[in-house]
Formats: sequence, C-alpha cells, structure tokens
Amino acid sequence: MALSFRGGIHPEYHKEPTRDKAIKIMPAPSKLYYPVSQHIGAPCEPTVKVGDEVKIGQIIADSSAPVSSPIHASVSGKVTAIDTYPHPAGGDCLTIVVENDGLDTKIEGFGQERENIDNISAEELLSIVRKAGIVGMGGAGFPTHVKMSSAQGKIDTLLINGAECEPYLSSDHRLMVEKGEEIIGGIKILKKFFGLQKATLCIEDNKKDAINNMQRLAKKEEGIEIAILKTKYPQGGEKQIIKAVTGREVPGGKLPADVKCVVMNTESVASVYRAVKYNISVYQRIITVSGDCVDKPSVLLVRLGTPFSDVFEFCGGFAKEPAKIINGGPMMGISLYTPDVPVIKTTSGILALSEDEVISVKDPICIRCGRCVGVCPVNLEPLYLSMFYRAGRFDEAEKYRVTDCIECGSCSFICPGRINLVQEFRAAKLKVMAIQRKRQAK
Amino acid sequence: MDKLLTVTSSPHIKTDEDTRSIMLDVIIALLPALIA
Repeated sequence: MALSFRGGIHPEYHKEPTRDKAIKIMPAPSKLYYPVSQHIGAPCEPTVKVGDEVKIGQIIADSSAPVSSPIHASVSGKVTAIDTYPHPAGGDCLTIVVENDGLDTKIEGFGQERENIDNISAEELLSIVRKAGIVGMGGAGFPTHVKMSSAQGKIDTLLINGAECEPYLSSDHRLMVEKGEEIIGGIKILKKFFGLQKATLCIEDNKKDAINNMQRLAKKEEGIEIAILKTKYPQGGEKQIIKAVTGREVPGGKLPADVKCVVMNTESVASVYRAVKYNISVYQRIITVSGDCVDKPSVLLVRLGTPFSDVFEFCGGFAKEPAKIINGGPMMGISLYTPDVPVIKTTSGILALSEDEVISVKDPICIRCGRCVGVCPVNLEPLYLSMFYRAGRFDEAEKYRVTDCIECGSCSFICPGRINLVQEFRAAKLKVMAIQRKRQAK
Repeated sequence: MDKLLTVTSSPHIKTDEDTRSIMLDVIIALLPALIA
C-alpha cells in the first residue's frame, strides 16, 4: 500500500497538460536579471560592476555569511545595470542585469568531466556544492551545503523528495522520467557523504512512468530504494514525507535532522551530480509553465534570470487574460503583480490562472464544520487559531501552536466559509515570534 | 496587459464546496421529515 500521513487534501491536480511533455530547451533571452537573494539566508553582494564582461558559470554575487550561496551568470555578455527590480517572491530586490551577447562563452573548466568522483573527500564535496550555488530547489531555497554539513554524521535516513504534490507542476516528474541517471548519480554521492547504506527516493503514485524509470535505474545500483507515496497534498512537505516513509514525527520547532533524517529535492540532488561530475554550477533549471491562460503549457529548461514575460511568450503567449500570475504552485506559490520578474533558483513553476479558476471571497464566515481540523497535516485547529487571531489573543494562539503551521494551505482550500486562514496565521506567526523574542530578551 | 493582476495570499485554488452547497445538502437531508 502507498505510504502517507494524517490529514491532507485532494485538490484537482491539473497535471495532464504538462505531465507527458518532454522537457523543451528555451533559448536564452536578450536580457537576464539576477536578484542577489535567491535563497534563504544572507543575500549576496554583487562581485561585478556595471560594464564588466561575464561568462557562463562566473560568480556575479557572493557573500561571506555562513548561510548563503553564490549566484552565477547563466549567459555570457555585459553587465548593464545593478539596481532594484521586482523580485519573484514579492517586493523589490537588488538585481544584476546582464545583456546577452549570444555567444554562450563559458568559464574555463565549466562542463569538464571530473574523473574519480569516488575519491572526493567530504570537505571537498561541501566546497564544490557551495561554489556551484546549489540550494533547495523545491521552493524553500535553503543552501544545500549548509544542510549537508549540519546533518553530517547525525542522520540514518536520506530521503529524496520526488513527490511533487503541488497541482499543475510536472518539473520533478519530467526530470525523473528523462534525466533519472543524474538523480541516481547525485544519490550515490550523497549516500557516501552521509555514510549511509541506503537512500530512499519518494515518488507519489500518480507518476507511474517516473516510478518505472527510477525503479529500472535503481535496480542497477545497491542501496537505492523507491518509496511509493499516496497522491495527496502536502505529501511533499518535509515533515509529511518523513512521517510517511519512516513513521517518525518531527516535533514542532525542530528540524528533520533531530529525527535523524534529511530530505532533499530531486532537482537539488541532480544539481549536486552535475556540479561534482561535470563542474556545472546552477545556471539553468526545469520549470513548469501551466495554467488555463497559457496557450501551450510546457516543461522548459530555462536559464536563470529569464523574465517570466519571456517565458510566457515562448509558450505562445496568453490564450485568455490572466487574473493571477503565480510563482510556484497554486497551493503555496506567490501571486505577482507583474510578469516582469526573473526565474530564480527556487522557481519550480509559473502559472497564469484566469478568473474562472480564482475564487474571490465575500464575507468569509466560520460555520464550525471542523474540516480544517481534519485536513491539517500538523494537527492544528485552524478554526480556533483564526478566532484568537481576530480577537488579538496572541497568547492563546501561541498555546495552540500557531508557530507549527507549515503554511501548506490545506485549511484555506477546504474551508466552505472561504476564510483565508493561512493568511491570518502568517500574520499571527510573525506577531507571536516577535512576542517570543521580546520574552527571551528579558 | 490592460487589467491589473490579482495579488492574494496562497492558496490560490479552493474547493468547490462552500457553505451554500452544504446548506443545500442539509435541506435535502431534511426532506424525508416533511412526509413524517
């Protein structure tokens, strides 16, 4: 039987428009935008000046902070501006603009095959991963080298997350079908790094071709298992996937390493392989372009820094007027006020939804049906949290563990009263955390 | 693009079932009581 967790929802998946489409390579546009913040942690500082020539793979922004990851140029060309531009996660961010010269000149050694990758030491591997700018590419964007070094020697289970439970998205799915070897290669490197005999690749049971392909590849290797998960949202959540596969529960406020697990996204694992084997830093990624407004929904391999507007144009433009443009999936993605933001390391998909798919809310009201309690994957009681938030009772909200909310959106999705629960909890969390900090300072 | 885009907090999709449809279910469930 397929593995799963308690709670969760079954939204309409809308994977059909993209699931069977081969990954298409999108040519690099004429202008690329690189925000200096593409990960969780300290933003980078530009290491280039306006007028500088850059090559593919060249570091254009870096930081000496411990939790950070460098940013590389994805085309060759000239830096034409360093200024603030809209960021795909909302707000504005310092951005390096590069004009593409179309030559695709690479820095020396980029793409060169490394021999004897089995002899690489742990320190060397960490430095390669850092230099390649690898971050959690499933969406969170936590620098991978930090995750690896903090979990080193503390874990007994390595989980590779290929669940892709967000509706519409097929990026990881296509990666597993077409480039499974890269994932297997990455798993082997990481297994050795953590000193484990076994690693588990977790896939939802709605991706039969991905499961078949990965099982075929895993059979040739030792110690790579494929776990088949039930198709349910948020199956790909870090804590949910650990619960489903190992039965362990990550306590509130703790990390997966505290229950001896580490979870990594398939694209990140494949990036580790590319960095180690071919000395390729993160300069492009697979994204899904979908939604009912997109003329030709596709799975694309795009250069980082490509504006969303160019991506939509490449997919045939809009079939109808979009009401929402979303960076990421429809459950946890961020809606944008402009399509003129670039693809960054954590962009797994871009959606354009019309008004028909976007339900607007008038006078939301709670009828105490308790469905939100039923679906919450971390066992919270959203209806009470919402009441406390509205009454300004943050002490009660804290007691009911609002800070454990993973913001998956299941409660908002299921609420028949159409209350924007997650939105309230985001605000409540900030408030509660501010109160906690004040208390600690005393 | 002529129209402004909508910006809201996630999630951007919701179930079709709302309070109205639940109340309709309640009415249907109570129909047998009319006869009794």
